[in-house]
Amino acid sequence: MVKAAVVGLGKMGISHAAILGAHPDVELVAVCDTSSFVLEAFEKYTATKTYKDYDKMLEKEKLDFVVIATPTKFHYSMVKQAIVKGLHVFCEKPFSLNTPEGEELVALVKEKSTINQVGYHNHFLGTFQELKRLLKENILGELVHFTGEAYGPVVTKEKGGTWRSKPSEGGGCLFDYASHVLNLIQEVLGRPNKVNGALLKSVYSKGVEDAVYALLTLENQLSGVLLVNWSDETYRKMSTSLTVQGKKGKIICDATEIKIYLHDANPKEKLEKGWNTKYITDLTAPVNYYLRGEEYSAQVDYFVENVIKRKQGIANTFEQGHYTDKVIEMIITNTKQNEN
Amino acid sequence: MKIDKSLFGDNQFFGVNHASDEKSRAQAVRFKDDTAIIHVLDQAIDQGINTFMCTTHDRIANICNHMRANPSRYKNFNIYPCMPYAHKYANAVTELGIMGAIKQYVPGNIFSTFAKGGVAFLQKDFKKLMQILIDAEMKMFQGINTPVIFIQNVLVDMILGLKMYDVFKEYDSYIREKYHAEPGYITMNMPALLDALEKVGISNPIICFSMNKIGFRMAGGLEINEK
Repeated sequence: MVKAAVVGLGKMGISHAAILGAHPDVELVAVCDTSSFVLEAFEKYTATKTYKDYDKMLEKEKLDFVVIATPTKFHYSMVKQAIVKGLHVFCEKPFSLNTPEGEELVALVKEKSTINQVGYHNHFLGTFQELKRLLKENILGELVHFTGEAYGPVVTKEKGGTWRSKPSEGGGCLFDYASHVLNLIQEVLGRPNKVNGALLKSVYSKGVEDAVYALLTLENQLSGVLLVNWSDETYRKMSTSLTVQGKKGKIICDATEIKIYLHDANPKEKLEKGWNTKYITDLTAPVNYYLRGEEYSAQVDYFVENVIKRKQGIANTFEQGHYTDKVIEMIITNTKQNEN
Repeated sequence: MKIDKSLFGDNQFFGVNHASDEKSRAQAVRFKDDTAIIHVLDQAIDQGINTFMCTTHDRIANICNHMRANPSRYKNFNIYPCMPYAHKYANAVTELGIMGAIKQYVPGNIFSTFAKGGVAFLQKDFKKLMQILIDAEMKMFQGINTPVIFIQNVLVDMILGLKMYDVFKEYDSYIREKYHAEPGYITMNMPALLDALEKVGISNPIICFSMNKIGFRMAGGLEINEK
């Protein structure tokens, strides 16, 4: 059994705590949060120890790893403390609010051989994994262009006053929402290394953007568009998709299905000429415990397995999460240049 | 308690489709107006379906109003509510924290009802808080037959993972006592849930889980679920 603690009991923290609680190889030793309401619920109904003070928890509990699901502005100091203490770390996305701090953490996990992972759960969705595999098999031939999109109903009226409207706390659509798509583009298509133009637009929010539009070029020279808007109430929940155009066809991929259009049939992949559709139901590896979609369990299972084996995984490393932060910074720099 | 052999579900009405976002949009267009939902429900009733299993989505309240206004048409019709409609709460939890979300969604006068201790009182009494939240979700069904009341899988599976099994017990007794209904549990982890419920003395529960040839979203695999 490996011993774990979850820090920050918001939506993601509670979700991680439940997944770890159900994991056969993990003992959820402690949880840490500032809310006495949430801690008292754990005290009343579970055997998990509770802490309001992170330092005290690290000092008193013998842990193998921590899950950091606090607001992004606390990630740097909390993650650093855990690494220095010799613990493995799973950190929620976005990784960090400024790249020098992220850089330091990336160097530190390397030095200390810390098993590290960032919570970009889309990597663990069968459809996007299949898209990556098909592109690797070169079924679209030379790639021409991509579109990375995400829409959802997060801010659908004018209001303010929470962290969501504070750029200093990672509150805008760029850090909180577009980061998912940027990370997915990076994972499936390649690393963006040039922002040709970008717009951050407010729809309802004051002080932060509700939409991000950018023209990107990747290291492999592929170009594409990023279109993200979290003030779109025509979506019931966050909907993320990638569309890739190649010389031999096109693929449209989201969390539930992957639609493939081919100029010519591909017998090796059993794909017909014209449109082909594959569904998530056929692309999903089972997990032991489900809370919402399987990708949330799959990413935690992957991390736990790496901790047990003492072997760093290749998916969602700090370095990878940090690169997404760098692209975010490139987008911000570009929009500032346009303002001047 | 006898459950009908086929129940009518509500996913299509609210654009919930786990196989395709495109179909989900088409459904949202198709069922834009409540009358479109009522029309389909009426067709189902004419085909001999007498139970509608639905989330506590805001729009269900309108359907309930229609049923109350036409008592003779719906007198033998049952609704199995499934609470809560989670997306409503999920966003609020991320933005405002758990306490903030509760303050936003618990009916306005709740905190003054317990003016003595106010929030502090509720903070200590999770059971009471759960009851207030259930009552808030159940309000729209007043005067309608609700012989089974389900908790949604996102909550059931969360309570299961956190090992807060006593919450199931408290839910179970409250639904029986206050609503004279059978408590139901929706889950993607049926075998583990069955064990957990047994541990707190709940036997032979009503469980709703996925069952399919390919074992999609069936924790533990096909075999153990079949047992």
